[in-house]
Formats: sequence, structure tokens, C-alpha cells
Amino acid sequence: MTLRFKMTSALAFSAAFCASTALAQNTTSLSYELVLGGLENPWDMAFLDDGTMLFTEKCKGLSVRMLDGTVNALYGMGGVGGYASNGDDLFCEGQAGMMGVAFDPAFAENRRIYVYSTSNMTAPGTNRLMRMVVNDDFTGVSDRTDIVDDVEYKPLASDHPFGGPGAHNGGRVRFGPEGALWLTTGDTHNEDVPQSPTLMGSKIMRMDTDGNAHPGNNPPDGFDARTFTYGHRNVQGIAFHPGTGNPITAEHGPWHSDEITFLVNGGNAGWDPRGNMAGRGDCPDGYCGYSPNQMDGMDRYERAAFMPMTDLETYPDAMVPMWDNNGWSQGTSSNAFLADNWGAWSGQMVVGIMGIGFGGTPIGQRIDVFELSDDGQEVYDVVEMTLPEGMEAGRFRSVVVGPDGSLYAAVDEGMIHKLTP
Amino acid sequence: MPRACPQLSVLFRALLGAFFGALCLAGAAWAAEETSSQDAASEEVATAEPAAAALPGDAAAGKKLYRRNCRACHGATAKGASSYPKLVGHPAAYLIDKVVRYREGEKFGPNTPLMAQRVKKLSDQDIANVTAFIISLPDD
Repeated sequence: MTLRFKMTSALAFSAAFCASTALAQNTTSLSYELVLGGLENPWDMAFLDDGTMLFTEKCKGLSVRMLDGTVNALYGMGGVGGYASNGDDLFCEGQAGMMGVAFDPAFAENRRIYVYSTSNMTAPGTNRLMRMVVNDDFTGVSDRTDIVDDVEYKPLASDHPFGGPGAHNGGRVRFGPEGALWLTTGDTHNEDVPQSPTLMGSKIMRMDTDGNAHPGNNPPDGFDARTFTYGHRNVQGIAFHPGTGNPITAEHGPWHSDEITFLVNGGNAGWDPRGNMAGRGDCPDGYCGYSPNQMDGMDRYERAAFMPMTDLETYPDAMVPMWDNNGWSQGTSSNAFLADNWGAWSGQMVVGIMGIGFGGTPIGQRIDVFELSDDGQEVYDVVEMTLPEGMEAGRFRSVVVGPDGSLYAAVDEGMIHKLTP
Repeated sequence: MPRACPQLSVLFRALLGAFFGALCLAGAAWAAEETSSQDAASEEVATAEPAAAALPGDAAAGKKLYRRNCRACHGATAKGASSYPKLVGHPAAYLIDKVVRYREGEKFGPNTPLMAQRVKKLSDQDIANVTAFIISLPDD
């Protein structure tokens, strides 16, 4: 009897030990499904509670995947065939094109959706946030209203890495838990944009569904009232901490320092790539964003000292990022919070990283899982999600949690994956 | 302090010697390979037709190179992604020309710094191999 008890205890201990070891080794048992393949640069997804999924393709347009798996092409870029209708002014170039998408929280009543895209309606082009109405059978859209029409676009090439037209548009569109509409933008390789009070690149914008400023925004005097935060570089990720509802951004670094930042209303993210300031001289085409030595590898900490992602010397009150990717830049894109069906990872934040292998930087394509403090302001731990068999890492452009609690991940290579715990 | 087991010590030293000897040989072989690659690279700068174009490519060897050097940006099937161009659908001569020009330090296109670093250590044979792999992929 005693022996049996001991053996049972040993087995129980062994099982518990192995289980905890398994967790520590991150050997998850996710199931995996390819939801859609053969796409062209899928950029973002949005879900209804029943699983209906909107998705964008950067150079093609907006589509919806219905519950039975059929795909309806709703609204195409200019000149792209196969869509129910087209925005003749919409175009793609470099990193620009059709990007973020969101359903209105009151979609059941108003059938409204929101899509961010590059447009040539006004020279030299802008990024616009469009509101549209989806018809009852999800075969078309109508009533396009551009509720934001003034986010800068980079029209000309410049002497920089990734220096073609169309750089740094930000692009994520999300509704916050309190119902406001959020849009993230980028610096368009323009040194004057990040700290500008009126140019809308490099901002996190909080608005109502007509594009009006949220009354609670608290930017410095003289700033456009739609500004929640400013001084960003290129924000492609925004998610809301489940405990506090506070926005947390995921942002690309230049050749160093990707950042995760807990936003403060009215805060400055501290990106200011102007030359002839902060100890810098002239820079190529006036933009110091990749300097020094912008075309070759060098120590990332030396770079960060010369051109900080968050310049706390010039802007001592800037928001301090809670994670800087160990000083690397690997193309941090979107973030999301996992649902409550993920075991030890329930409620934790996932971040998609696209991978940039430059100057000795590890490429680093992955989905990271962040354990945050209860107040969401501190990173306790980060682990890389082990991908299930059959799924290859890619340029993780968008991670979105679906209504079933699965994590949907779009990769630039043309796929939308579904990961289920 | 007396040695507990002198025979073991001798054996250990012999094994250690053999290990480092092997390491040196491997290092020398690696250095020779590097040197020959670099020589080949510097020789062909002066030639109009890239030497890589005349070499038969080994697609299997090229796949390994592609996975390590190219896949993250151009995608597993070389169809391109984001602002990184599609590679399938181009003839071998086009691909070789581009890679050799990047290797020689020519600057063209906004992604030059990324490409220049990725290809600078590729030999002519490496380029022929990775090209053979890319053109073996379907363009559908």
C-alpha cells in the first residue's frame, strides 16, 4: 500500500514535472490550418463574431471570406479586375497600398467598415481612411466616405535604404474597447513629420467614426486635435491591454530598436530624424533615420546613440518603450492579445515580426508572446511561439485574434494562417 | 600531487591533439575555399559576361543557399513579398546579372544595402546554384 502510494506519487510528480518542463520548453500543441493561400501581400484582417473575415491585399483590394469559405472581392484598387467595384484613385507603390481594415462595433446595425489605403485623388497622393457600407449579402460596398484624407504619402524616391516611394505609412486600423476609432501612421521618410503638430504622419490618431477628434485627446497646444500620441517612426501595430484598455503599440525601428510602447495620452514617442540637431550634422536627403553609415552594418548601440528611436535627451518626457527587441530591428509589425483559451498564454500579447537580416542582425521571423505586468506597462518575459508542424515562419504582417479564440496570422508571402490552441 | 591515472592523461592529450589538428585542417580548407571564392569574384569584375552564367548550377545546393540567404524576403517560393521583388519568371541570365552587380558593389534600387550584404560572400558557383534553384520553381 505504501509502495503503491509512493509509486503513484512519483508518477504524479513526474507527470507534473514533465508538464511544467513542457511549458518551459514552449513545446505547444497548436493545431494549424491554412485559411487562405495564393494571396498577394495580405495586410490585415477583421472579424465579425460569426467568423466572417474581411481582409486586404496591398495591391489588389478588399475582400471578404464568408463562413462557407467563399471569397467575395468587394473593393479593388484602381484598375484591378475582379472586384465588385473599384476605387479608381487607390494605388500601391512600395510599402504603400491598401492596409488596415476594421468592422464598426455596431456593424449589425449600420453595416459600416473602415479601410486605410493610399490614394492619388489629390497630388502628390495621400493615405486615406475610408468608411464604407457593406451590402446585406456581402457582395459589394457603397457610400465611400473618406473620413481621413490627409495622412502624408512619400511620392519620390530618396537616398535611403528602402528609399523608394511609398515608405512608412503606418496603417493599422482598430476600434478600442471604449468604441473610438484608432489609426496608426508613419513618418514617410520625411524628417519634419514626426514632431510636426499638424502633419498627420507619425501619429496615433483617436477619432469618432466621422473622423472627428476624440474629445479626450490631450496633445500639446497647437497640435491637430485628432492626435493621441506623436513622434512615432512607423507604427503598424496597436492593441488594447485587456486589463486597462490602454493602447500598446508595436513599431518598426530603423537599423536598430524595434519598440513596444504603452501609450500615454498626448505623449511623444521621441522619434526626430532631423539633421543638424541632437549632435548630428547633415544627413542624406535631410533624413537621418538610418544614419550613420546607413548602407552598411555597424554596432546597433552606436546607431541608437547617434539616432535614437526614443530620444530621451532631447525629449526627456518622451514615452519610454517597454521593450526594444534587444536593440535589434527585425520588422516588428502587428500585435494582439490572446483570448482566454490559450492556457498559460491567455491574455498575453503576441507580436508578429517580419524579419530583416541586415548588417549581422538575425533575421528573426517569428511570433513572440509577451507576458506583461498586470498594469500592462512592463514586460516580464518574452518567448517565441513554436509554430505547429506544417507551418513555416514568414513575414508576419498581421496577427489578429478571431472570435473563436484562434490566432490568425497573415504573411506577406500570400497566406493567412490559423493557429488554435 | 601524484597523478591518479597517467595513461588517461596521455590518451587525453593525444585526443586533444587530434581534435585540434582536425580543426586546423578544416579551418585551412575553409580558408582556401574562401580565398578561391574571393579570387574568383575579383577576377570576374573585369569580364563582361558573368562567370556564373557559364557554370552549371546545382539546384539542390542552391536550395540550401536560398533558404539561408533569400527566403526571408523573397519568400519560400520566390514569388516576392512586400517591397521585395518576385524572382520566379525571370530567365537565369537576368537573375545572375542582378546578383553579380550587387556583389560588385553596384547600387541600384532601394533595397541595395540588403542585397549587397547578402550576396557579397557568394562565389560564382553559389550564384549558379541558387539561380538553378530559383528557375526550377513554378511560376503560377
